[in-house]
Amino acid sequence: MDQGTLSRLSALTENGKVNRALGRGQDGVEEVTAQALAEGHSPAAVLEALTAGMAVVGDRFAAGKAFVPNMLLAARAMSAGMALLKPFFDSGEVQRKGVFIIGTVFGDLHDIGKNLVAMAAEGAGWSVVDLGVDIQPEGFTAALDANPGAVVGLSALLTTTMGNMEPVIQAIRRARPDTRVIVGGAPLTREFADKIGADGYSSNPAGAVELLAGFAAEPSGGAL
Amino acid sequence: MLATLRGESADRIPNFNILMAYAARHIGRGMDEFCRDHRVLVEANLAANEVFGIDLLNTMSDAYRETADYGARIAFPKDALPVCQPLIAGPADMRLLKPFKIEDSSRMLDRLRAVELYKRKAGDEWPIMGWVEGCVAESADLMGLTGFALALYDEPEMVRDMMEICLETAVGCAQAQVRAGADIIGVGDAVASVLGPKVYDEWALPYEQRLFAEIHRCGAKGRLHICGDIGPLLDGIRVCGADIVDVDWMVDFKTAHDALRGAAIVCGNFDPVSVVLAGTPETVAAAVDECRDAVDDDCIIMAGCEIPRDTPAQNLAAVSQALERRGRPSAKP
Repeated sequence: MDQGTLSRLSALTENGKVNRALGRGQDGVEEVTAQALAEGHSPAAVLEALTAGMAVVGDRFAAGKAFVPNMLLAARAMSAGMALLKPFFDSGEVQRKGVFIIGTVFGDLHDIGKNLVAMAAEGAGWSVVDLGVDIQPEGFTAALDANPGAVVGLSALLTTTMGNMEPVIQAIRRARPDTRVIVGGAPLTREFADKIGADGYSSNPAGAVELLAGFAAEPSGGAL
Repeated sequence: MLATLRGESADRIPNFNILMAYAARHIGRGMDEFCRDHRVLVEANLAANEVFGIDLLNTMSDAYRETADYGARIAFPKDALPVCQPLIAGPADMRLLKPFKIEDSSRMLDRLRAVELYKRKAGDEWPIMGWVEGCVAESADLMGLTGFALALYDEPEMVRDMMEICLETAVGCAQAQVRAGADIIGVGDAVASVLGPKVYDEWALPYEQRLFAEIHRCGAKGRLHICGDIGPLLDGIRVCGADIVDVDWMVDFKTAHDALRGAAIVCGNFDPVSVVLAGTPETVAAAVDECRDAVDDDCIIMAGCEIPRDTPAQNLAAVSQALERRGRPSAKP
């Protein structure tokens, strides 16, 4: 097996190269994922290569060296590879790290921050349930009913809607007290997150993925 | 205020705090009314300016005035910002997009009426600021941010066509507002900071330069507002042509000031949430002083972005009180 194929896959993901059609005839993640599987690389190793490429962009984003287009392009490229891995997820040959439910809270229709975190989480190996925007507390609790044990992420962009996170967290606590809830959004601070009872706060997608990794290492019900 | 822009001695540093949802609530009106009816917008800002010592008549309400006039569907929740359905998904939708003239429009015409009403009511007392969307921000509104960001790479020719249409419309709308009495035209290119310096320099900057050149040509000053961290964009912003550059709270004020020295005056830049919404009059006053000290009074003062709707009145009042207390700005070096 050619380890260079996996390195190339990471680099193509990082640089947002999707496929030959969008890449003016140059191979992208879609072709190289297929090549890696054909060479006999395990689906888990292929996933790791995709994740590594996405993580590079996420870290650069957190450091202010990459920007929204870079994240979107990398996530789109990664999705092309993930589509080829879907049968292995379905069969259980490749395990997700857990389920991550994410949505923008009610009253707020902004989605870019939520989308970036969802992409980063998926790229880090989580199964993502994206509820969309303007989600009432019942929307989150219903998603938890369908995915017990999931981690929940709440997003808000506006100072007028960040306060809506607290009733969502309260509803989640009433329905499933052990649920881990993380929050993020431009006007938020760690102090605000603590005040409303969130289990974690991040100002960027890479930080959110780190929080998720911590939860995966210490499943719900353990001390935080 | 205009003396400050000319670099001359002024009575005090201007207070440019941006009030929208706060102003609507200040007079007990809904955000939907504030966005849709220039009489409400004008009444709200005049009342708030008197109480809170704001030195500018503001016509900002939301980002979707032009977008609506291009044909996008907009919903107006009673007490929240309008909601916009993107109009353009790809090249096939470009047939829907035509430049418009302000006199044939709806929401931009309402803004023009606000300028006219300000001029009649208080144009001799305060400077009036008209507003247009920057071409990058407007394109992102037309497509949605995700669609626009990907289209920059997938459909650059379409994006270029879209931005040319946005520029033609913005120039016409700016000119009409200046004719109606606007002293300053604000240009909101809100999303530019999240696109990064490469995209800013290639896509936003050339259109901002052309827009500010036209604003100057009709005799007004230009103000650039980009939300968020503009630190990586400062080299480009320096040559965009704006006379005033808003600096959001996460940017080091002195760094921005030094980067723009001789090109534009900085306007900012304390945190509207942790300092103004969640702080106290004392923390607000300290933040105002800190901004002034950082740039030796060579600035306009405001929170880095819009004053949150639920800000305690005493905290907002503390801005002008702090400016009055310190009095006349120190002499410019």
